[in-house]
Amino acid sequence: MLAPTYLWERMRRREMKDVEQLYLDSRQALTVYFLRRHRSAHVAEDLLQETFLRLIRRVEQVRLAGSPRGYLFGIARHVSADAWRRGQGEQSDQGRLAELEAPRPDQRLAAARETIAGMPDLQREILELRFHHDLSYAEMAEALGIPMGTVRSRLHNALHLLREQLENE
Amino acid sequence: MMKPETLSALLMDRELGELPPDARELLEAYLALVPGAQFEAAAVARVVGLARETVCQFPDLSRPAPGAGRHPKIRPLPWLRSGQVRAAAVVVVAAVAGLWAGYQTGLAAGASGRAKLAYSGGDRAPGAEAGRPRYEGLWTRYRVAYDGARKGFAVEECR
Repeated sequence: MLAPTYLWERMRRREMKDVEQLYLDSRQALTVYFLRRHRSAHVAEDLLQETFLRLIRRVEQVRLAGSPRGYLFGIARHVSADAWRRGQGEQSDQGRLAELEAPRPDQRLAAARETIAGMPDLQREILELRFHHDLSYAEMAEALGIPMGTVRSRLHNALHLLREQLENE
Repeated sequence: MMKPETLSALLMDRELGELPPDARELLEAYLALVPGAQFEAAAVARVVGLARETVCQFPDLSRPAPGAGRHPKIRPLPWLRSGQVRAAAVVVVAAVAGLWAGYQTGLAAGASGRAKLAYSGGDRAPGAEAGRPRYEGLWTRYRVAYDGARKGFAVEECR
């Protein structure tokens, strides 16, 4: 029988490998996530590091999570919210920002933008996670800490609103 | 025929890649059979495409509203607060305990000390023997019992 310490070490090493792989797979997506929310490459990098530090502190929970990627986005969400509360929300960075700025929008997109801007925060966030970060229902539910049915119904409601706007044009 | 809202929801799930393969196959077969459903499918695809394009082109939409911190927890029944739930639970437990106590007391009282009050059916005089009462309980002052042999009801007071 293997000594408990040895088993623990093996488990930790395996978990750390999982975290490392998750970091490599998600780094780009999370950088974009923070850039869009905070508009600064410097802040995005800091928040990315903080996200993975928090993940390492909770490494045993990653295995228990329904979706590791969703769990990671959930941590990123809290890290971003904490930054906003500390007043580190936005520091404009013209360099990377230029990559994200939209070309001159057409009428249809401008109207859609207005419709989405008027939606509750949670609904906008669900749209963002789905259409920009390609998270599934299950991953969004994990990230947001809400039931999957709620994610689905909020997303469908948002799309219905957009459709009404489209049909009214 | 599928309800329009059900079809719309399934089509959205399909556009978002959330339908399991067997459900997707069934939906495709339905779309092939029902021509009107294909217009709905096209409309849903346009909306999903618009949402994707808008979200990707406007990064400011991803920023939280000013002063927003963590998102509020989703409550399935927002009008229920924990204090109300506790109070309701206490009332329910007390009611159940009262019902049980009443029933037990009624059973324990047995058939002693009853006064027979009235009798219906036939031409029997009041005070005739009645069968075993049907309703028992602490709060039951009177009991109604049917006497099959004499084909009538007797009302008796419990003491």
